[in-house]
Amino acid sequence: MKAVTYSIFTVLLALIACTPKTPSGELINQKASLPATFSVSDLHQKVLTAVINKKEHTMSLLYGDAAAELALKSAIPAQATNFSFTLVTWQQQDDAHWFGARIPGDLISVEKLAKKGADASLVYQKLSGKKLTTVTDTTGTAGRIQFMLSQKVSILP
Amino acid sequence: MKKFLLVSGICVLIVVACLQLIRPKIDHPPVTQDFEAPTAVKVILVRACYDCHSNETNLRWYDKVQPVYWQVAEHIKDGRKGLNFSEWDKLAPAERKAKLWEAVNQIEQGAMPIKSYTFVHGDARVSSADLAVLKNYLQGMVKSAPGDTAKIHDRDLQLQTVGRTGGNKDAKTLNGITYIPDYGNWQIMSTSDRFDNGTMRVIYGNDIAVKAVKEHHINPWPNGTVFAKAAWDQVEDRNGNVTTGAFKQVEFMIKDAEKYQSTRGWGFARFKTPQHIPYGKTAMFTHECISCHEPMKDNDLVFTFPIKN
Repeated sequence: MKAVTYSIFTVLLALIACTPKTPSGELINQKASLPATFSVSDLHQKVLTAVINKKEHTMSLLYGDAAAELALKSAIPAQATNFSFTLVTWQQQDDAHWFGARIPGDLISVEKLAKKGADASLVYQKLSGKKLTTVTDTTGTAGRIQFMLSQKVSILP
Repeated sequence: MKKFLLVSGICVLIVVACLQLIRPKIDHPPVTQDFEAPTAVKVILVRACYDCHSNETNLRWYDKVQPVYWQVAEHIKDGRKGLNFSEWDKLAPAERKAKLWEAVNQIEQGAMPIKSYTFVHGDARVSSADLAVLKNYLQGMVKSAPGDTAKIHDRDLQLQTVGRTGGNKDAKTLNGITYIPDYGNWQIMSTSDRFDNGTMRVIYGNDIAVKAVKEHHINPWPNGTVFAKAAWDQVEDRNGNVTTGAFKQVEFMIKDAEKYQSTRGWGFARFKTPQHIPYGKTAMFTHECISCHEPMKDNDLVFTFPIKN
């Protein structure tokens, strides 16, 4: 009897003492995560700015190297050289942890824009969907290049 | 044995009776300005929140019995300090909005009303229908302002001045956290569209944080993890494109289970404006941080869902 009482007491104490922790995997935003084949953090580019489109309900981060940052700060970005941009765009989703916030949801695309060498032309590439497959259709490319080069670097004092 | 139980029982009764004589004071300060809202909203907040979050505390007889009374007094003291609907005039308009969104989030995440309170005061529970009413009320406060000239002006003014003046790189909060200048070069944890207060945010993580995400070791986050959350005004054009406007603030969370043991393993800091003005009138400002992050207690107090990138 004493043993039973002791066991019950121990179980109750364990139940009170243990705080159920959410498994790490559930706290990672899997929907928005990039596939292992494309790791933007390995490019070591800096986030230059963030953009939201309220009509499309999308959000994007524009990454770039040092030359890309200088290009956006120059009068005519298209005339700059040796720069590399990466624009990652997600569909928005409600933040389950904060009513009043939206966070990245499904990964829509990664767009890369680079110009290497003074005489080189702009190279634009678009990867689409969760698996980031290459998009060969070039419709709208000029507009996307214009969009990326027209961004202003966020104020980060 | 029976005699022993009888004597013990009498002793307990005497102690409980004596405890009734020791009573912390629960005052009822004047209502300087009551919170105003549509009746459907007000009714819910009065029922669920006002006992601890207003000067119109309604104590039932069972709240006045010791040792419960001590706990009740403590809840009221802390509750009024965190949010007081009877002194609404003491909050700036932006603070009022922020407090309301925080309150509804606390309710939604199950942190408020506190469980021990609703256990005794069943009528204070907030049903899902009640919560929908509150959320709908807040949604009605969200205003989109394409081409907001004031925000564009603020951004342009900062662009002109920030390059010249810069922020105070040695700024330090009252809990001893110094501004971290190079967070802008860190990798990204996530980004958020805070439509509740018209800001947009980028959450940066240091190398330890990035590695922890890649290895799925984020609950708890490893010692040495640092997050920086920068916030800007949202500047919206007529096509729905929103870009970063004036820089508002940067907040840091630094994980050191030992050093920041008193604040649950995290060092909290906030530096406001491009001048990096440390937030907090006293070192106790961290109570506010903990209180807001409390609903994330099962997630190592972290709100952000990091993105593997």
